[in-house]
Amino acid sequence: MTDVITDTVERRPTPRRKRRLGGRTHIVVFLAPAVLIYTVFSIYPLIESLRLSLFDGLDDGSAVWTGLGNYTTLLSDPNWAVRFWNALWNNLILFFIHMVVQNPLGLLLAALLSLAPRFAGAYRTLIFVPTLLSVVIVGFVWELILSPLWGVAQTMLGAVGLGWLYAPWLGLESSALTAVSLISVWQYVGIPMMLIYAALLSIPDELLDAARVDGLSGVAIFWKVKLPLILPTLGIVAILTYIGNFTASFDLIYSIQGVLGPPDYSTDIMGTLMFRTFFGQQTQIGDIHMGATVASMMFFIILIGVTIYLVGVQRRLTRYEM
Amino acid sequence: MSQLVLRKVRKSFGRIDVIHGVDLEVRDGEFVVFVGPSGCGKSTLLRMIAGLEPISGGEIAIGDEVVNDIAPADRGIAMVFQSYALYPHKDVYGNMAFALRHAGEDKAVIDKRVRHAADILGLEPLLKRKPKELSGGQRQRVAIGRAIVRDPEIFLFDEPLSNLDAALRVQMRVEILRLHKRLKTTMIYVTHDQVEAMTLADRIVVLRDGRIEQVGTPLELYHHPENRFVAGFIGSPRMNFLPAARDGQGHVTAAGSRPLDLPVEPGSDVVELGIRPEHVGLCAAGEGHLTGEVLVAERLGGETFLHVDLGEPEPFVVRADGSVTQQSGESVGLRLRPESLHVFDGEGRAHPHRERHALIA
Amino acid sequence: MTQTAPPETRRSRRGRSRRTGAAAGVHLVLAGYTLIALFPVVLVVMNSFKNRRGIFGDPLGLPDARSFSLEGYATVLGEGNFALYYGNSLIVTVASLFLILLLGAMAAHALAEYRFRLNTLLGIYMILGIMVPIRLGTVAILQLMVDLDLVNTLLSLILVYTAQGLPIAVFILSEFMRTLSRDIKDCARVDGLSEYRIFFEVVLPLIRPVLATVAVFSMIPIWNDLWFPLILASSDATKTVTLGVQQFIGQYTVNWSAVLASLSIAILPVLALYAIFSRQLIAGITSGAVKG
Ligand SMILES: Nc1ncnc2c1ncn2[C@@H]1O[C@H](COP(=O)(O)OP(=O)(O)OP(=O)(O)O)[C@@H](O)[C@H]1O
Ligand SMILES: [Mg+2]
Repeated sequence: MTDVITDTVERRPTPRRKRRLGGRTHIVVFLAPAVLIYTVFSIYPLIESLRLSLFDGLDDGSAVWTGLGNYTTLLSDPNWAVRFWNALWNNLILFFIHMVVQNPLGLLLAALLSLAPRFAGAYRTLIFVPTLLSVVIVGFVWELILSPLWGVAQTMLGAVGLGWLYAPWLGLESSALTAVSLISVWQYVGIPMMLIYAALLSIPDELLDAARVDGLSGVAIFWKVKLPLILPTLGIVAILTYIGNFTASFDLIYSIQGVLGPPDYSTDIMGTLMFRTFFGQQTQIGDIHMGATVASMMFFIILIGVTIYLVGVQRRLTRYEM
Repeated sequence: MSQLVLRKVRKSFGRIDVIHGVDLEVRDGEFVVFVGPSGCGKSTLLRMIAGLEPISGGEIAIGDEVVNDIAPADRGIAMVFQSYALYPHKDVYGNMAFALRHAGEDKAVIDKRVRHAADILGLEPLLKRKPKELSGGQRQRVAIGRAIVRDPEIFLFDEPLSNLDAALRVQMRVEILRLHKRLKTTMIYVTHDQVEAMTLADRIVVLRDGRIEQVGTPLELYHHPENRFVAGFIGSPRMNFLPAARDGQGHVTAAGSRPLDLPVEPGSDVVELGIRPEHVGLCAAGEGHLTGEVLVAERLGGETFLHVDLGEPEPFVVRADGSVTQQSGESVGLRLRPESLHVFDGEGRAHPHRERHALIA
Repeated sequence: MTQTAPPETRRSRRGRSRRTGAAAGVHLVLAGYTLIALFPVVLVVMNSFKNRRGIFGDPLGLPDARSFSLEGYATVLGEGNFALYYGNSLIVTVASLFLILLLGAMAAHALAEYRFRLNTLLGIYMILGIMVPIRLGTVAILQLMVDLDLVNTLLSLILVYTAQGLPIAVFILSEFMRTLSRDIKDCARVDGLSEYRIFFEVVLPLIRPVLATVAVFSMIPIWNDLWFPLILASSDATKTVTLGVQQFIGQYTVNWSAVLASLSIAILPVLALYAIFSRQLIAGITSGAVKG
């Protein structure tokens, strides 16, 4: 149905002309703006990046086709390969720490909240606070807290007799990446907590009652009934962690450590590498084509992860009708 | 005069044909009910009449005008939906006035018509309420009131009562019937409840798989079903079917029964006999036409349904008086009334026979 | 979930004491983690109201008469341009959210309501972006913005964030719209509403709660983003709060009270908003999560 009014021969006397059926323009009107903006500012740039990565820049500003030349450079040229593999490795460590610390912690908190203790609402609300804050702010706050200059961390550890443990973690090559990862865990644990909590809430009470009638204890109900039912959510949490790992962590590292991933590239990740490659830094001049190559590599790495998730994980995690 | 005419109306969703060429004429003021099993295309057909579903082929005319390309709002119809479809953010008055306001009708006219409809349906005390503050029955009444306000030439109902509980459904059924008597407007009503169909309809249209199986008054369909499908679909409990054959004299025998005196036209093959549970008489075992063992006796008080095993896959159901004493395990004789027997051929077509019940006109 | 009380049995007393023990354990863990979650925030806000000696002498103490000072805030408000940055962040976030919700809902409506040939394909195309971070196209986005002469404008951020937020919005909204009753839209058609008015007057009011969920999901990453402001709009006039704080702190590393004050200025409004809206926000996240 449209508002288009056409001249039709009227056989019944009616006060006004009749609207006709059949126009489909409204579908285009509804879809066009979203499709347009999304295509121009999200899909096109992605494809353009892939294209740029296949060219090499000349001094006069023109570009020449190199095929996979940039990728070969990135993966095998000594100057590039070291940085690339290091950054990728660091990203994987970051992901690993999130998987073993953030997600189990989120699961624990969600499980406890789902027992509906008193103040559950308040706990939930407050634990989610860090997630709302800008990564930049979180980064600075922790930098100050961990700073030997201020000494808050030192004082607090000292108060419980653990003063000897303290080290300027963010500044040490051996611990910087772990420290940054844990800060990120601190900030984002609210998200897995919420997702898992919601999944736990959606398990019908009757099912839990049935398990209780079957004689299962609270702990057994958790492992044998609840956990299998929320596995799909845990799968989603894992893939979100994986994707976020390549994007969101840039902000944190950039604001705490800067763009070089100090000390000595120990916190350098794909995001900082891409930023540096693209815009240049100190001695290095920016290179659009290598930047696009790094971005494209990230794209493929994410694609691999998502594919593994979709093919290997998600299909096996049956979604139960609840 | 015909109010609504369907000519070779077809509908396909993509490659799937859902309505296969339907022809139908509905007279002015008539109450027509579409029945049929789930998925047979009742709603689709109704929505095509409303203009909500484009037509793949054929022609639909309302009044004298072909409306194939005309928008729903200008077809002179009003529709009542199963889920009521009230606008949740408008109160009862707002819901009823909505279409007229949208059409730019005069305020006083709107008010008069809304109050008139509210009066018919007893909705005056509820006019300021929001839909969520109404019971299911009240909501359905508002939905009907909203249709009345539009003063349509045809009312379309799509299973309007199926979300209501049994008692309310009976009450609303009567109310819709009274409404039809009062407004005398053409109504087309979709349901899969055959009690609704039998009680409301001037004429019933039985649909199956997108085709019309039979059109007729409720009693025509009951007494003279044209085929096995209609015979089985109309009537509750369902008609009993028995395999049958025709002997040399043109008389019919059902499996295990004595020959029945049912002369059918020569040349027609007979494969099945149909008889409704209420047209079977009980007698002592060995007497009557058939004998079998009672499997279950369902006693409803006023009447009793006996499920009798005749050696067929399905038990044979007899609707007997509430006072019968037969227990399960007992043998009973069954007497069939020739004038109520239905004879079907290999394609399921009903064959007239001499004894067949004459319609009470 | 509700714990059903067990019938009184011989074991009930032991059971009860074990239950109290377990409840205490639950509270210990939750309260302990809540403390960890809040401590850094409280510490920073608290110290931002102290003078230099207070900050270093007793970082864990509340500001008292001797240590209380607003010098940090004075510096920040004097030197930084935070009102402007806030305004920028607000414009960018609100405008992006408006576009994401409006355009996302329109597209989702078209995908959920109408049958047309490209429907499924377009649906998949639109939600691809959930899996692929928009940042990977940064190189080309910057070139594009240069070509469009949009560098250092808020519009560039708005367009990018809209493109970034649309996939998840279209996904959640179309899933939900498919569950809406078809009858009510058909009824509006019979009542003579155009398809546009059906969208605005019938569908939009029905999806309001889900719009809130989508707003929450989309808002946090936009407000907090550092990457695109840094790359597309780092000029003084177009800085967002996140970028502004980041750069301010870079300049004032030695002035601790100013640093702490600027952090607090960035944190406090967010916390205030959260205090007001946390109920809806949490409900939104959990309901959205159940769907997705
Ligand atoms: N939008 C659609 N797309 C594809 N097929 C459809 C669509 N709507 C209906 N159908 C198909 O058309 C057939 C008829 O559907 P319709 O809703 O008219 O049945 P119905 O007789 O009203 O059934 P019920 O009694 O269950 O309401 C069904 O097989 C259905 O699957
Ligand atoms: Mg139907």
